[in-house]
Amino acid sequence: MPWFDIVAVTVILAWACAFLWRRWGARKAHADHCGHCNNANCGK
Amino acid sequence: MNTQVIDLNRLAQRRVALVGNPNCGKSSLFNRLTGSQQKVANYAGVTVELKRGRMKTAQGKSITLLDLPGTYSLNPGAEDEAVACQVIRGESLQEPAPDLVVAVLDATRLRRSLRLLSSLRRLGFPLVVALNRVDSAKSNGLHVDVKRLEQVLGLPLVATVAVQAQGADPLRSVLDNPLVWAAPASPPGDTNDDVQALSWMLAAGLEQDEPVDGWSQKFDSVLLHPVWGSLILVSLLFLIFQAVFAGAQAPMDAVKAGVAGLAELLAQSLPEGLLKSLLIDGVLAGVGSVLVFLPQILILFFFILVLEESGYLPRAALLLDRMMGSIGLSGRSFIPLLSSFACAIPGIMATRSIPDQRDRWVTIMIAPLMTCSARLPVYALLIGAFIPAMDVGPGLQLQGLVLFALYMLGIVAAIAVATVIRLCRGAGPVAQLMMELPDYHWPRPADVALGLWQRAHIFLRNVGGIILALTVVLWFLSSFPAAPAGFAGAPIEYSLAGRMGKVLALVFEPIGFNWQIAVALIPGLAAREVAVSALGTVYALSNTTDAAGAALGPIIAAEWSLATGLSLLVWYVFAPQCMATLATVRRELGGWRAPALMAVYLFGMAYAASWLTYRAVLHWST
Amino acid sequence: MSSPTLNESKPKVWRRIRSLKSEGVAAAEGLAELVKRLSDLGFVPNERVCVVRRSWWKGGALVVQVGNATFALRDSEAACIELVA
Repeated sequence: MPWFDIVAVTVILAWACAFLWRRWGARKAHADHCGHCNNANCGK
Repeated sequence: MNTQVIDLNRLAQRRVALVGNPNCGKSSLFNRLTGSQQKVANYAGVTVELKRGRMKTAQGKSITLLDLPGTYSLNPGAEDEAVACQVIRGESLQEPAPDLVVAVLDATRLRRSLRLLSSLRRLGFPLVVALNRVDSAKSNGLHVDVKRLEQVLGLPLVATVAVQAQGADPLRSVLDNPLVWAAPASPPGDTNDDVQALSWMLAAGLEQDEPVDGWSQKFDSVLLHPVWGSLILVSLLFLIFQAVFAGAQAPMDAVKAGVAGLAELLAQSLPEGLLKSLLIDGVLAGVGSVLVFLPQILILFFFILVLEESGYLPRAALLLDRMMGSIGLSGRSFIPLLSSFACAIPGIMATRSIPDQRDRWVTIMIAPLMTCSARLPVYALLIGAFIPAMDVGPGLQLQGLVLFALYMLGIVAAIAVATVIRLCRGAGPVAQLMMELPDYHWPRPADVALGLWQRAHIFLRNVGGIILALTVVLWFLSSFPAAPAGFAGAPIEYSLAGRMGKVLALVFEPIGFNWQIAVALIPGLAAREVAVSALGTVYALSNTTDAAGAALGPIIAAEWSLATGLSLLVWYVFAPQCMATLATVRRELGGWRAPALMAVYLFGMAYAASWLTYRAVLHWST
Repeated sequence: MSSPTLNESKPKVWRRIRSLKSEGVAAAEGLAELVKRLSDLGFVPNERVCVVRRSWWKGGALVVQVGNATFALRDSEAACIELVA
């Protein structure tokens, strides 16, 4: 069932891209806002 | 009299901050109260940033607890103390002022602790006093009448023993009392904190702290001895390196077997196709290559945590102060640089404890040269593949020795860079020291275990997060466009990543890197250990055979020359393959100049060193 | 006619602090800050203090005990601490 493969792979790939996008976006946004650290997990 | 009504049901939004002198046991108290309910950020070691956690009172109400960096007074000496002072005064951008402050007093250093309490009291917060280390004080012969002291201070006071499992319980109970949350009436106390502290001590029947000649002093006579102390330090460091390599073998083999087993299982149960390739050649090969190094990282961290908990680190800093002085720094740079051996990011943040800005700048610039734990997977892979596992002497293994040499290379390079900076800038004023040497104590197993668990958690979170994501993306770029039927060579060479790699390989050809390495270095910019997972994926996809889960080490040992392997090894000593570090430098020093300068000089050194290594090894092996 | 200072003190001999210097110590920029910092750390008048060990090289750090806390100080920092004769 090749379509299953394609769907699964696309989903995983989409997750990966979204993750990376959010990570870098969140880090930058956090750094601008927090004024103190660049750790997107700092909790603020 | 403040008759504010406190609604206990809204306690979860209440924030309590722990404030106290450095080394008063605050962080230990924080651990007892919050357990594993702490926000795990990317650091371990001396507190230079505030830590947040959740604690439960005796009645089970949940409160947010903050651990602030230790400070001697409300006049900050360096930036870490400034963080504490800013938060307390409500001037912090990051954290609003707490609702209640717990002043942690060290019963073995009462006069000093009371001085801080005196200045805290003037700020008008609701205040609870936690008298910590009552047990140590007692064994030093100082008996504190807790009830009397409470009366004299006019503040709620509890005695805590942070090193005991239930030692923080009195604090949990007192926070259930609604009265403590009301701000105390402004006291008429003396504005000179020392006078106030002494009058309190007098009123509570406490003698002045009598100087003790205890165990700490006895140990110091050996550990600070110029000859014996230095020998002990060097031996300790060497022991740690050997342990990191030798001690991790068994658990590493277990992880390798686990990953290989899983790969086999998947290979047999999944039908041929994209998903199978993604999971086996992408995820397992990639993530598995990095996962295998968790045992080594934990062993290294174990030693760092134990050394830090025991109080030994400032002594090591003092022994190295002379050497630091000769390159223009002070012993104060030692702890940030040592932290950088775990990860440069908290190391760079730890430079906030250095009051002198010049010193701080130089320390930050050389911090990435301290071999961080993320390099371990790379080093272990390359050493395992290219350095034979043989004994060169009693208890001395060649592989461990080479690892040690790599660490030394980083240190030597850092010394060289600091010296060059010093020569260019001219010697400045003598760096300040004024460093406390806290009492020695047995590392608390609970705290060490917590630190290790947090570290493992960060590692696994990175693996499951960014490393996995990058591995997936790299797999995609390495699999598409798919090679047409009849294409000679591995399918990956046809893909986008493969083509990029071939282009980059032109730049790297003089230093012996092939296109696969070039491809791996790109996602490898995100974090050092990603290069290992990237290589894992690239080579898995290069395999035209069906060897699922084949270990990366033997593959590269077979395909690369010794010169290439050693060249890549040396590259990793210098190259800033870590965007997060550069981002941290930007945050700590402000602006782009510093991180840009760092990137340029580190990549430059990396290329030069790799080139020298490659040419030298090529020359000698022909 | 200046008071003896901590950096001149013999090791293992307990002395009392008289006061902290308010002016004129060589090579100490920002003297006021330095002195404030020292007093925050616990070097206050009438506190007992003692040099535990001197460095084996000239210009190295002194290990000093003040009250029952131990600190490493530079020679120039210890020179700001005046002792009761």
